[in-house]
Order: sequence, then structure tokens, then C-alpha cells
Amino acid sequence: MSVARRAGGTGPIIVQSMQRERNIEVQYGERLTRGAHFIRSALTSGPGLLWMQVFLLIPLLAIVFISFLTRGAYGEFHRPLTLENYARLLGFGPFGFDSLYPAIFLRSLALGAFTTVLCVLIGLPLAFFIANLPPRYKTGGLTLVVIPFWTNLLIRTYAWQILLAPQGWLSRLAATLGLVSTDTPLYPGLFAVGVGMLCDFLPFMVLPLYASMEKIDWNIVEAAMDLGADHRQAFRHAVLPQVRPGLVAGSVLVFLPATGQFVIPDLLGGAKTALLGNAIQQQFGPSRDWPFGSAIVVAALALVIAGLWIQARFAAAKGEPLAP
Amino acid sequence: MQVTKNSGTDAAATSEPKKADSSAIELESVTRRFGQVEALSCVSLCINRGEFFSLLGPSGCGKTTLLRIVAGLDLPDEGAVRIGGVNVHDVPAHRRPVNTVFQSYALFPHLVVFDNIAFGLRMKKVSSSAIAERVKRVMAVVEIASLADRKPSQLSGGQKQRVALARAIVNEPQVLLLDEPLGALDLKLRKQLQVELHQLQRRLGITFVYVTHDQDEALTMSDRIAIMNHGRIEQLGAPEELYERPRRRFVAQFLGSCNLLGGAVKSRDGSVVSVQTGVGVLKVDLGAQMPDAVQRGYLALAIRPEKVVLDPAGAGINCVRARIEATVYSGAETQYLLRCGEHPLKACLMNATAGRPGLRVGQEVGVYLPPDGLIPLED
Repeated sequence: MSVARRAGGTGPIIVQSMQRERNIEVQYGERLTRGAHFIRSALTSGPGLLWMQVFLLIPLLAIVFISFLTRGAYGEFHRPLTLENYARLLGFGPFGFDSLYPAIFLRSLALGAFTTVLCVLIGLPLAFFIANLPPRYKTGGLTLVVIPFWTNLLIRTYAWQILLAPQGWLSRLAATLGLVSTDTPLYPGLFAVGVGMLCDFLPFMVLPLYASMEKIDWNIVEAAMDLGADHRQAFRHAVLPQVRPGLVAGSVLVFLPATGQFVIPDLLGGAKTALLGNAIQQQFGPSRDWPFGSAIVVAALALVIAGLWIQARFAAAKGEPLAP
Repeated sequence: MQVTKNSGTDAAATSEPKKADSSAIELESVTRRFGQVEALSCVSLCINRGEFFSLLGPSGCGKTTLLRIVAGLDLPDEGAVRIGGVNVHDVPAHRRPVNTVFQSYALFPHLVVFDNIAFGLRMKKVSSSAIAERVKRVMAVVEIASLADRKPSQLSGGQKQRVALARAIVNEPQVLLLDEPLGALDLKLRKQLQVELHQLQRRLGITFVYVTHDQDEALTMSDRIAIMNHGRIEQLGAPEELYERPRRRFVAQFLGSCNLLGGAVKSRDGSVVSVQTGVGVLKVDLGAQMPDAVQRGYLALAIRPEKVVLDPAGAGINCVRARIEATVYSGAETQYLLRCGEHPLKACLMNATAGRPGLRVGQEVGVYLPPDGLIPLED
């Protein structure tokens, strides 16, 4: 056990045995046998892993499986396995080409892209501003960004309905200032959707951006200026590359949920268009067509995974740490 | 009227380049404050064209601030900066004809070595064939030709240093500003790069302004050194002048090691002054210079340890008795820590012969402080 022992009180240290006991590992300074180590890991990580297996992995596999079945007259599942649902998604329905579902997909992706671009345009300067505040104001600034996030999504969205209503003071103000013509309401419409989405997703963009801006090495920016870059070039070549991990992380965090978001576009856009979210709800709810609903889910998931994979490959090729 | 106006501008035009011929950088009463602290207090300085000029001082003395003001990364609160005879007060950093080698290197982490070095030329819209050629040439000069495709994270400290240097000199600046460029390297590499930097400066003929807190570095490389303390230039001169004839206590102590002795002036005989110091009466020939302090009856003296002569039997003028308290052997030389009455003295002897001379701890020796080794100080 002990490798060194004092013989007597004051004598020299005599090394008795250099043999290391088997089954003992030292991790972060703590000695543990392998068995104890295993039990401890199982007790701490086990419940989480089990939860993920039962409530995420298995249902997900079930969804994938169901997506290859067909719907019976009463909403029950029928074999054989078929690709019919996916063909319908791509527009090849029983009555020839139908652009409904491809359009839903494109519309949802467009909504995600629109929200992401809005969040970048507003979030980049905002995160930059907060990161450059004196240290004692930074927490306050971040809190202000997060506060809307603490309010329930529906309440926030209804509040915008009232604020942007055709006879509301914001609408009248915009009309008086000549920003919109008198008969065009701010709500419902694209503007209201943009406001609502921005309100919902801005924190997801600002927080990762802020984290990467905090770490900017200003020496590198000064080096760029010293080498002849003006403000614009220094931003592009010295600031942006350093902020990029945050920009990518924020874009992923905004784009993915924004693509599936349908409450805000419904409530603020006038409920005129179908999006991925309400298409899925429709299939699992009123239509009772679980196989087709599952196919939509799987297709959306595949899109997300493909997007993340491309982004990861891109980041790896650039030699930067992968975004979460 | 018109004629006189013309001649006036001509005169101005001809006088400007004349100034530019001799001086690369001129600072005139430059002051920079950070809150209550004056980082630079009314610094005036003239750096000659093609010179290797060092700013030497302890950390916080304002040397980096001075460099940043020249680079345009900071602005003076008062005073003027001229580069090549042109006042650059309104010229932003990216249009100044100077480049900087940063202490932390500040290489672009997302760019490979080649692109790092090409950055300045790309900003100036140099054609890509010219860029390729100039970058290759510079990479050969600093001996990193094989590293073109590496990222900065794949380089060692010395290699990063070379890339930072190449990235600056490829732009052929009028003045190269170096902010403690060797500070993060180990001693051996530092010594090697000191020699290389010095040779490079001679070869390129670019004016180097070199900030360092390492006195060896400044002494071995520079044509002239400005020693700074508390935002002021304490003394400016060639290395041997600063070392052999420091004018002030700070310079004497900062550059190398020295014994400080001081005391009342007992008598004056022409230029020779007798001073009652802590170790005894010392005679020193002040020559033409006569510090104001002598008028007040007090004179501070400094003597370098290697100028002190140990002589076991010594007696006579400027000779005092001291006891050896400790010896420190460091290879080429041995230091003797002496005590003369209450006053400590340091002496340093080259180990010219193998084995130690017969000087042992506890022994009494005669210490001769030669008059020409005694440096009168102004404060």
C-alpha cells in the first residue's frame, strides 16, 4: 500500500515497495477502486441516461417507425411499410403533384431564416454594446435582454396584438410619421410577426454572442488597424472571426426553434398560412393521421441534422471549435 | 504679394524634408494621462533615421504608452508627434507609415502564416502576385519558409515571434515599433533572436523603436537608449554612456548593479572633491562637470561592483577596510558582499584563473575605490 515508510523516528526514508495495487485509480486526486467508480457513475449518471432512453430515444424510434406505416379508416396504423408519406411530403400525392407540403417546408425555413437574420441584425450591435459596458452595468444589461423571456409566450404575443392593433397608438403613431399608410395596420402582418419572433428569440442570439464578445482579444483588432485595416476591414477581418463561434451558436439556437414556431405567426400574422408546427399539430390532432404527422416530424428532424452536420463540417474545416 | 506667398510655401516645403532626413520620429512635449495618473509627462524625444532605439524602464514607466501613441493606437493629451517630419495628430493608425510587433504577437488565429503575413499588403490592395513574392521573400529572411500553411496555434513561441516580425516588416514601414517582442521567450532563444533582430535591423535599414524592460537586451542591441521612469525620460544616450556615466540615481541602479555612496563635501581642491561617505573619505575628480549638489555641500556617488578592487593589504587614498560577508559564485565571475563599518559594498571579480583566489568569508580586506570609477550623481 504505502510506497515509502520511515524506519524508526529519524532514519532515512526507505522505499519498501514500488508495486502499485491493482484496481485502484487516482482521479483528480481521489483514490477509487474500479468497482466503486462504476457504482458511483451508475448512480449519478444512470437515471439521466435511463430517462433519455425511455422518454426520448424509444419514442423517437417509434415515430420513425410509424412514419413508414399508413393510416386506417379510424386512425389506426396499417402495414405494410411504405414510403407513401414521404412521397406526399415531397408533393407526390394520390391526385398528382400538390405543392402544399413542400410550400409549408419552404415557408417554415423562410420564417426561420427571417427570424435569424433579424436577430443577427439587432443582436450583434446589442451584444457588442453590452459587452463594452462598464463591468457593473453588464449584468443589468443582460438581465434587460432576458426579461421578456420570463413572460409567458402567449401573454407576450397577445400583448403585441393589442399594442400593434389597427387603432392602437403605435399604429396611429406610425401612420402619423408616414411610416405606413393610414389604412395599413401594423398587425396582422409580416411586421407584427417580425416583432413577435424577435421578442421571443433575441435572448438566444444575444447570450452566445455576448459570451464570445467578452473574450475578444483587442490586441488582434489593433494589429489589424496597425497593418492598414480601416474600421470596416478591421471588423470584418479581426472582430467577426473572433465572434463567429457565438454567431454560429446563436443562429442555430434561433433558427431551429423558429422554424418550428407557429403560435407567433398564427397570432400575429393572421392565421392565414400553414407552417410546419401547425401541420404537425393538424396531423396528430384533428386529422388523426399519425403516420403522416410522423413523416413530417422525421423530415424536419432530418433537415435539422443535415443543417447541423453541414455547419459542423464547415466549422471543422475552418479549424474552429464546434458550436453546441 | 503672390510671389512672397509662394516663396513662403517653398521654404516650408524645403525645410520639412530636411527635418525628415535626419529624424524618423519626433515627440514634442507629449503628455498622456489616465485618470489621475500621468503615464507620460511632457516627453520630448528625437529618434534618428535608421537607428536602433530602445525605450528601457520598469513596468508602468510609460514606455508602451509612448509606443502606442506613435503607432496611433492611443492619442496624446498634449504635445505633437511627427513621423518623418509630418505631424500625425490627425492620421489614424491604419494610415501611419509604421508597423508594430506586439508583445502578445496578436497573430490572426483564423489565418495561416502566409495569410497573416500577407494581411497588411492585402489591405493596401497590392496585386496577389506581388504579395506572393514579397511574403515569400520576407519568410525566407526570418527563416520560416516551411511554415506557410500552419495556423498560429501550431507554432512555437519563437516561430510566432518570427511570424509577427515578418507580418510587420513585409509592409516596409518607415519605423518598426517593437513592444517587448522577446519577453515571452526562454533565455537561450531570446539571446539568439536578439542577435538576429540586430542583424536584421542593420540589413533592412529600418528605424527600430524597441520597448523592453530587460537591460541586457537594450544594452546589447541599441544604438541609443532612453531610460524611462514615472512617465519621464531619465537619461538618453548610447549604451556605454548610460552605463559608465549615469547622471541620476535611478539610472545608475536600474542599469546594472551599483554601490551608492554619498555624503558631505569636506573639501574642494580645484575639480577634486573629498566626500565624507559611509565607508570613509573618498576623493573624486569631477572634471568640468560640477553637480549643483556640490554647492549645497552634498555629493552622491555610485561605483559599479566590477570597478571595485579587492586588495588584501591595500591602504592609502580611497582605500577602506571591509569584511567579506558572503561570496556568490556564478561561473564567469564571483560576487563579494562586503561590509565596511555599517555600509554594505558589492564587488565583482572575473574568475580569470581556475580555483578561487584566497578571499574567504569573514576575512578583512582592503577595498580600493578608484577615483575614475566613482560616478558623481545629480540627485
